[in-house]
Amino acid sequence: MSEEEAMVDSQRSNRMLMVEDEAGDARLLQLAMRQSGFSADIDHVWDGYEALDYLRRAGQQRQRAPRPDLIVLDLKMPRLSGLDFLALIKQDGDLRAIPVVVFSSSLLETDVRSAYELGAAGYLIKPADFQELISMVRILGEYWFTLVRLPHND
Amino acid sequence: MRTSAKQCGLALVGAVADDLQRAAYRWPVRIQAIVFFIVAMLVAGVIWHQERARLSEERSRAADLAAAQVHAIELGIERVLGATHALAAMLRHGNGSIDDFEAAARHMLGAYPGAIGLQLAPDGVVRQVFPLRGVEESIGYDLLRDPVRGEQMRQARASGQVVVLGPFHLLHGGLAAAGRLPVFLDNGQGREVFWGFAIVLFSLPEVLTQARLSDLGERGYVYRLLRGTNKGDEQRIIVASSADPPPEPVQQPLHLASLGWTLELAPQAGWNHPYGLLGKILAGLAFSLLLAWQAGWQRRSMAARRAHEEALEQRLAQRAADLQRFAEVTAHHLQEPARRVVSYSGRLREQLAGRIDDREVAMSLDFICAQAERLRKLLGDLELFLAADQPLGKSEPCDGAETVRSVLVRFSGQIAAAGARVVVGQLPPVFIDARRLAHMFEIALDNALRHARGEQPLVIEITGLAQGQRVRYLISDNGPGIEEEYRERVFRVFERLSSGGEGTGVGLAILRRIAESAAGRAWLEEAVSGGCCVVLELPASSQPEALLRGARWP
Amino acid sequence: MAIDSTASERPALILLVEDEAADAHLVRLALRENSVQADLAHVLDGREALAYLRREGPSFVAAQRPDLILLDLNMPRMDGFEFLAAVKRDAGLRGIPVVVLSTSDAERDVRSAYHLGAAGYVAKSSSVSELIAGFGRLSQYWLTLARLPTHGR
Repeated sequence: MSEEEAMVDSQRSNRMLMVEDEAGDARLLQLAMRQSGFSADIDHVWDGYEALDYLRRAGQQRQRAPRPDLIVLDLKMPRLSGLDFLALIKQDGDLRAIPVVVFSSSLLETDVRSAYELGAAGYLIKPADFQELISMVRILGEYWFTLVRLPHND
Repeated sequence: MRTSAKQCGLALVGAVADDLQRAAYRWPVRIQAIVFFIVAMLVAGVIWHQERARLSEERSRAADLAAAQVHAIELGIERVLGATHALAAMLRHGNGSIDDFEAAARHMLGAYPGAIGLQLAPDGVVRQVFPLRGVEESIGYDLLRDPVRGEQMRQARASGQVVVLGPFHLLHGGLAAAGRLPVFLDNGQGREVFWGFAIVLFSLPEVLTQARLSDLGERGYVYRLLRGTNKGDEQRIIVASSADPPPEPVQQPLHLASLGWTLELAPQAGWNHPYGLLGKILAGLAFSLLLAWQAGWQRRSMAARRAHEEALEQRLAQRAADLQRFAEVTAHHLQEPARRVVSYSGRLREQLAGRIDDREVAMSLDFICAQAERLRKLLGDLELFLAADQPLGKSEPCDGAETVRSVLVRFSGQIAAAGARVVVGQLPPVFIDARRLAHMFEIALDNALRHARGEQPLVIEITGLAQGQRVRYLISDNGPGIEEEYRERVFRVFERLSSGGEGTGVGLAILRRIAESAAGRAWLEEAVSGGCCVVLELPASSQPEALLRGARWP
Repeated sequence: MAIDSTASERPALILLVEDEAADAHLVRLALRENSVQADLAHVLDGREALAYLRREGPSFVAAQRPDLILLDLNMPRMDGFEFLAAVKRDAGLRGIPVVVLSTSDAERDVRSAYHLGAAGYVAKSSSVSELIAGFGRLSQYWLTLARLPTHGR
């Protein structure tokens, strides 16, 4: 670590919020993260409502919830769908700067277009193969946590 | 309901007061008028009160004077009346008659100043008169049967009291009065029997002159002596200092029975002193105007000072904006070409690797690359320095211990590489944004790790102490330390104590800029071990936020 | 890694908005070094980029809609932020992801970019090899991994 990096990049470790209603998918994603070799603290919420509460620090135990650097969002969720959640946080002046990557199994072009038009910073198709998932997560991490500068959302 | 109405009223009053204040600020003329009005009212009250006090004092002084004067007149009259008593004694002695009345009377007139005639009236009928000339017809006049005075004389006969009558105009001019004493003689059987009246005529002017009545004029008073004081009575002026009656005079009656005389007295100039009053009013007006002017002046000077301060603030804001702009220029316009030079010189070196035979060409290329890199670094550090006064996130109570812990995690590699040991003591919370606090610790730690390599293993101590509203963090090492004369210099941008090395020498400058922008300070001290100690002083987290916000570095 | 090759039959189109020839050259170099299979359109500033995207003016009548925009922040006439805001205001254009390339490391710039809807903020590295590696990651993410809204152009 060079001198400047030590001084500028006083970042805490990377923090990612996973919005995923499928326990199986969530588990797979976490495993893939670990195996792909990039480190990030992952918080997991089960749907859009819970994600909003988490981000807006609603409720007692979430008052000091950290702001994530990146949100990985499933589209098909009960209660509040991924696209509705995306639209909501992109209207929120405090939260809109957090990049949201859609992680969906939907191949529908309308979903892809809607996600980008609502402000998604990427649309990834959930792969069936676990090795593929690992490689996907590695690329994701290299882009967002190595290459790109992220805003501090505290 | 009543409470709310009251609150409403209070709010209204508050609003009106606010309005007034604002209006006063905007229009100094208005506050001048208000001040003038209030002061003028006060001064008028004072003048009115003073005038009343002065008037009552003057009247009481005049009353005292009048009483003294009346007393003097009474004394004079009583002295003249002494002649009647002398006559009565002689009558008693002569058993009802006086031998050679004429001679005795002539002698007595000389002895009683003011006396101009003596008469004896046995049984109330005037028989003997001295001097007789001019008043011959009064011989044989029966006083007890006088249509006007008869009743009075009969009363005197009954009471035995002397009666003073007057004034009369004497035939040969001048005013006179008479004192008539009823005389009682022993009838030989031990009983007092009315004999008649012993009478003295006296000149009023002479008596009054003896009483120094005219002195009043010299003392600045006008006066008159009247008979009959009640408004209904016919008033008769006995003597007056001037033709006009004294204005609103004080009155003092003579106590001599039967006379009914009154002395009236007033200052010549009257009771009011129009010039004095005018002077006071003018002085009061001048005073009010002066205060009003001063109020206006103060208001204006306050407004002027305020305007000056605003202008100053504006200039400061302008300077801050200039700095910000400079930071942006540095970031965008200077860094970009520097980066490109680095990129292309690096690329060139790669492309030419192994193909340059000339050593000097290779060396020049190396210098270009190194200097380009150095330029980029300097610009980068300058940008960091300029941005260091901007909070990164919310300023809030910050746990120093937690911050240090996370910094140590990030520095674990460097700490291990330096073979250093870090000891962390108690760190009270401070008020700042967490990221810049971490940044300051990183700079101090980086400084210690790179410069404090001595012979013995490096030990870095991070401790803290609370001092009232301030908290000090001390980051000290056991290295060679920094000589005192350099301890300030190292805080300057790009100031380095050793040549070479990677640093550009901006770290401590950034640290100080952060500390000062967060209402704190930073300096170097000698550590107990002789090494270098970076001291960070920051506001304690217990301080009210408003205070901290006010204490920003410009 | 299996890519969903049915998504697009022809190579992706990247619009590079960059006023400095030196930097444009480095971008081309980096893409070439990474063997990125993509077409590159290059415009010199924000206004020209908007004209391109809206197919205004004779030179852009046949312009193709890009799949990804790489945007330099510091440009004359219309700077990167203004351009970004204009693109994200335009209902027809806002679906195109915009990745910002900048020399500035300033937190304020990073925040502004994301706030305006950037899909990434890449600090231009002064080291060419780092730059090349960075473009490798960028193209991996956007051109290999991500599904781009290319259909229905």
